[in-house]
Amino acid sequence: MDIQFRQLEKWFGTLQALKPLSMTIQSGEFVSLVGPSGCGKTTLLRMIAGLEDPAAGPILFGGTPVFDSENHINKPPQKRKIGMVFQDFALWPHMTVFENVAYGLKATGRKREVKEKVTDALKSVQLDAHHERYPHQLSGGQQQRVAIARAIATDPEIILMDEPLSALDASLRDEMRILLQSLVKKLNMTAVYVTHDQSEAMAMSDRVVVMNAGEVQQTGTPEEIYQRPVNDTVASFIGKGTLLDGLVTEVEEVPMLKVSTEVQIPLSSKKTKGLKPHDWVHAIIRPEQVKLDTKPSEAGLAGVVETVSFLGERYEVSVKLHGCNERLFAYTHEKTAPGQEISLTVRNTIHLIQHKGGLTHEETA
Amino acid sequence: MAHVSWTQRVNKYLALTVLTLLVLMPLALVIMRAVTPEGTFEGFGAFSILGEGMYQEILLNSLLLGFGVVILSSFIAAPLAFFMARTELGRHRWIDIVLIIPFMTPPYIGAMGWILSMQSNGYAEQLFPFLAPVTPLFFTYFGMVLVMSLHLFPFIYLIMRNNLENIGGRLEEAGLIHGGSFGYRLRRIVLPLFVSGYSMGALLVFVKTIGEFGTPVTLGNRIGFYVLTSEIHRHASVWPIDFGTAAILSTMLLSVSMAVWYFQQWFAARTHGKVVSGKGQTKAYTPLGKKQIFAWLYLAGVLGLAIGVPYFSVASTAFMDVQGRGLAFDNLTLRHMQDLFTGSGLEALWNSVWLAGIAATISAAIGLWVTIIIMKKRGTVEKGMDFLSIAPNTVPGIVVVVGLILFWNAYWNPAPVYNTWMMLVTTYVVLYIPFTVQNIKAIYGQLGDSLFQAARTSGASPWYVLRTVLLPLILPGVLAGWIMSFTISMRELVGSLILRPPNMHTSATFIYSQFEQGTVAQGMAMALVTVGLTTVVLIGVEKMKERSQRYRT
Amino acid sequence: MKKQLSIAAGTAGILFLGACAQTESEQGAENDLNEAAEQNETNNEEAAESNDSEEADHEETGELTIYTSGPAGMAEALVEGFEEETGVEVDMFQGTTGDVLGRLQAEEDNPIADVVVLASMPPAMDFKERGMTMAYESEYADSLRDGWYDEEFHYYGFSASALGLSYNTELVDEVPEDWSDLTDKQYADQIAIPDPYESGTARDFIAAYVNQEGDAGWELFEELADNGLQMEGANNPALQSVIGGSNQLVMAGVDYMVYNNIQDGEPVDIVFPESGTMVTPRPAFIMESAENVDSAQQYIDYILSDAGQEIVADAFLMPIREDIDVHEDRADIDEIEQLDFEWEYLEENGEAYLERFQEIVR
Repeated sequence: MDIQFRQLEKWFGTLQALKPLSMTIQSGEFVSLVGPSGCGKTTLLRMIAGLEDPAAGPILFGGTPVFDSENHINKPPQKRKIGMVFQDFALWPHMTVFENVAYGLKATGRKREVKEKVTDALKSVQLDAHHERYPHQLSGGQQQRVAIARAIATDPEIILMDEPLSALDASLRDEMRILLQSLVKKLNMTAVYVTHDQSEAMAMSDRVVVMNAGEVQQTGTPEEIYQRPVNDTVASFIGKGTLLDGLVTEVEEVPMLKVSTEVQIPLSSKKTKGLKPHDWVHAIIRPEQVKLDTKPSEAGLAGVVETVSFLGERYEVSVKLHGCNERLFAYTHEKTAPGQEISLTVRNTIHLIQHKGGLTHEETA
Repeated sequence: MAHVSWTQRVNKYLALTVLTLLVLMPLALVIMRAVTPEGTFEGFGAFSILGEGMYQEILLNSLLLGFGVVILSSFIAAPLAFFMARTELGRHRWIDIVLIIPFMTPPYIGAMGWILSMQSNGYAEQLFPFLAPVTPLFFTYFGMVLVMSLHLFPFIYLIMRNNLENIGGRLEEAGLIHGGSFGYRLRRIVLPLFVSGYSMGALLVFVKTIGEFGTPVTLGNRIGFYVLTSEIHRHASVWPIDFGTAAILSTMLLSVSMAVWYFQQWFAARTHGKVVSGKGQTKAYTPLGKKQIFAWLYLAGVLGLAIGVPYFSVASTAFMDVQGRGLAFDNLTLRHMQDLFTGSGLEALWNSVWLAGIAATISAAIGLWVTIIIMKKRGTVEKGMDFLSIAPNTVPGIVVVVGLILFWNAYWNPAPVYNTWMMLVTTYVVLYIPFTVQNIKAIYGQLGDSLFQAARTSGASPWYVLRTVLLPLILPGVLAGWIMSFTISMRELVGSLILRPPNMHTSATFIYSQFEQGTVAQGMAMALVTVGLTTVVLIGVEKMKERSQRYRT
Repeated sequence: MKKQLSIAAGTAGILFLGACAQTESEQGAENDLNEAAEQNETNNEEAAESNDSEEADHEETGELTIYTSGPAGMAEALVEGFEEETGVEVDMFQGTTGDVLGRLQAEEDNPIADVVVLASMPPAMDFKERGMTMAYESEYADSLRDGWYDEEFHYYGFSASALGLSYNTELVDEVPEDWSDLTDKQYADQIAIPDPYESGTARDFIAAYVNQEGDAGWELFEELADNGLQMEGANNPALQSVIGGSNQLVMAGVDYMVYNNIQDGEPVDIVFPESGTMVTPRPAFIMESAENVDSAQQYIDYILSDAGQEIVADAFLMPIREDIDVHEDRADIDEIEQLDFEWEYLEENGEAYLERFQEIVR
């Protein structure tokens, strides 16, 4: 079942919590809403659930409006046939695991299916035992499994998840992420997933919606968002990297980004159309584009290692470039030490976030 | 959620109307009556009597009593709260029930018990003749403060204990890690967090004290320590009856209460009572080890004074054949008990039980209703309702009672309530709604919104959510409120005395009239039976409450 | 789960009704329920009201409402006897004189009582003056003691108590014979008097004593205050303080309570001072606003009848009828020396004297 909004917006008093937004979430698609807290992602999710009333704009599930201010349609949450997973799990403490999961079926009068559906749901979250336990007798991960089982027990075609993993420990988080991902695909549900953790969003989603201050910044596949962020907000929120700006110069027909008088970084290995000397650009360099060389060489940029973080399979190193105030991140398998002199090269095409042609040097200085 | 259906609106205004009728109208009429003694507005001239020295002294006495009781009951309660919240004693939950007994004890019984013990040739001197030089001290301001503090300290104790429990261990551990000494931690972390909650308890005790009627009438009048309530009672029940002055004094009492209440609100808003809580809180725990014995001794001491002394007197009197012969084993008799159960006492007791039962049930129901509205949204109307639902607690009972007469017996009031048993139920409900509202609110406030949203998104209708999620979860609060209302309705005196219909006695009025006109021993027998019965109900409902919370353990 | 629900359900219907309309709803059954509940209520009210008005069409509501003070046993016995004899049902509010007066005042706008019985005369006289009482000449009017009832038959002091000196027989060695004996040091700090604020009879006594003695009366009170006279609540608490032994004696306390306690075996007795004391008739009267005049008049007749007066005598009170004997264990009216006073004087000066007395004793 697909979900559509057209010019959907929301105000809290004089604060516009969501600027008019139109989009379609395809049936079976896994969409993440990501952004810093207060960006409107949770508000959007809650409007889909029917827990908040939009100021304007219809919301359609499979082409049927569940909210339409013009036609005075506003289906309450219980009529929207959705499943929802909450950040704090929201398990009812006075009900057993079984009762929690069976709740939706009982509430909607599907009493005959209870036993089978609950058993299936619990099995699919790998929680076959513990049916008679109360939530407080379970671990955090188990509680979250119950919450997921509860959300899927009624066979909803849409599942909404509000930061479901944020209350879990890191190790559990990965495990639960994989469980959720496979479950959603297996059951072919349309999933809307709210998170402030961009890596979670990138890992799980078919499509990522990056939001900030009530506005959608960019929508796209995780790869698009990562590789071609449309603005600083997206660029800095998604993934690591260094934002740089400067003027374009050309060295032997290769366009270079002139960061300072001494530092120039090749923008592309190939000839790039539309880039002329004296153009002003704003670009992002991701760590994986940077190659370190522990032996100083003339070819690369010179810098000094500032910090080294061991990530298990590799190191993340921050390098302060000589001759300017910029700092680049890089991954390496070689151990380096802070203070070590180093040279580095930037590979692949650098993604330009902004590009303004024909500025004079003075204007940018 | 923001969408407000008309049913919700109707429901809200219906609740507001009920509260207005129950609480606002009576109180407004008291003030009206004070400014219009003869039915016409005569300005505020009537208030000029407040300038008279006699009334200034009475007002001062009320204030002195209020402050004295707040201070002494805080001192009594603080160590207990600490022991129960932080040490091994906390595991003994029965202590909590025992500590409520003083509060269940009708204040005039407590005062009578003390008087019987402390008067010259009283029980204290009969048992311990060397106490003779000390006992006259009791018949002073300090005696009154002592008796009333021993009655009201459970209030402040409960608030202090909950407060201490809520100031989780982590906050204190954080203080500890940052190098605070015990004293420093107490001063900088515990006290500031503690103080706004405490101020509410202090306020309640203060208002209860200046609004209390039993002790001033039994002990205060005897020693010539007159306060506002005893004066109001005098004007309302002693020839020549002067309701105008009673209303003016009531208004004065009301203003004092409101001023204190306002001050408390202002104070609580200034201090940061809300503890920012992340994940789970650990309970702070300070094991006492061997030193426990001191805690137990202290507890025994407090219980000895608060329960032992008055109940010894009550029981002695109730089982004493010839009062003039004093304490002696051959002077024991069961005849007062027999008289009680064969005479009109039994009926009075039964009246109290069912009246209190109905009143507690209604006030729990209204409390639930109002709380749900208040907790859902915080608009102006909701705030108004919140205030009204708490107001009777900040107003002395006798003021409420005067207002209830003025309202329910007004010639323009068509409801046939006055002079029937419904009037007593109404009185109890009005007086004790705050207890149910506060109890339910406390529990409700701990429930996250997501519990209800989860139910809605699971496909449950609002009705179904209410029934399967909200009610079971706040049931403990409802039961706690019920217990509280029931307990104090069982012993309510001032309203019962003035508003009871013909042919009807309650346990409290029976006792009072036995003191005034009948056999003191039978009154005391009634007091014993009533408190015993109340305790049994209390334990029963407490068990029920435990069962409703079984899932927590 | 189930159990909790049923408990909650048992708690009260309203509890659901009120609460549920709260949650967001697409209109709902709950509201209908709410309305239904409300309607129910108003129906009940209407029903009750229509009952009322139906009966108000007849002159009598069928039930006689009596507000009475006075010894609990006696008030009840009188009502029982009356109900048996006449078949009229009685609604009785029984309390202290203060309670009764308080209620009457509270209900001024909307009076309910038909018959009122008090323990003190002045309020009854005041009620008469204010036109709040109804005259009724009983068939027994000829055989009543003079001065105990209103000459225009507005109120009848159908029973009376005398004030005396009650003392603890175990503590008092030398039984005083007159008020002035109490200034003796042997009674120092051991003399009580009922608080005249709470006891109408004590209050009347003070004024009556001054009426007879003039300034000498005030002098006596001052001397007594010097000897440690204490006010000890209403009559019963004052007497209890003597029985319990914290005081040796109580002055101006009502006699019937003492006789009751003697019967119970308490170590207490009473003497009536030589210089005179007060005999306080306890007035009963019909309210001008009474709805059940016939039954009210029947009640007045009943309490003056042989049966009623016997009940009075049994309660150790003195009957108003000259031909009915007092209880054998109590002092007869002839044995009690009475103060020489005017009720009008008491009514005029009562309040001022009360305050003066308070100032002296407190």
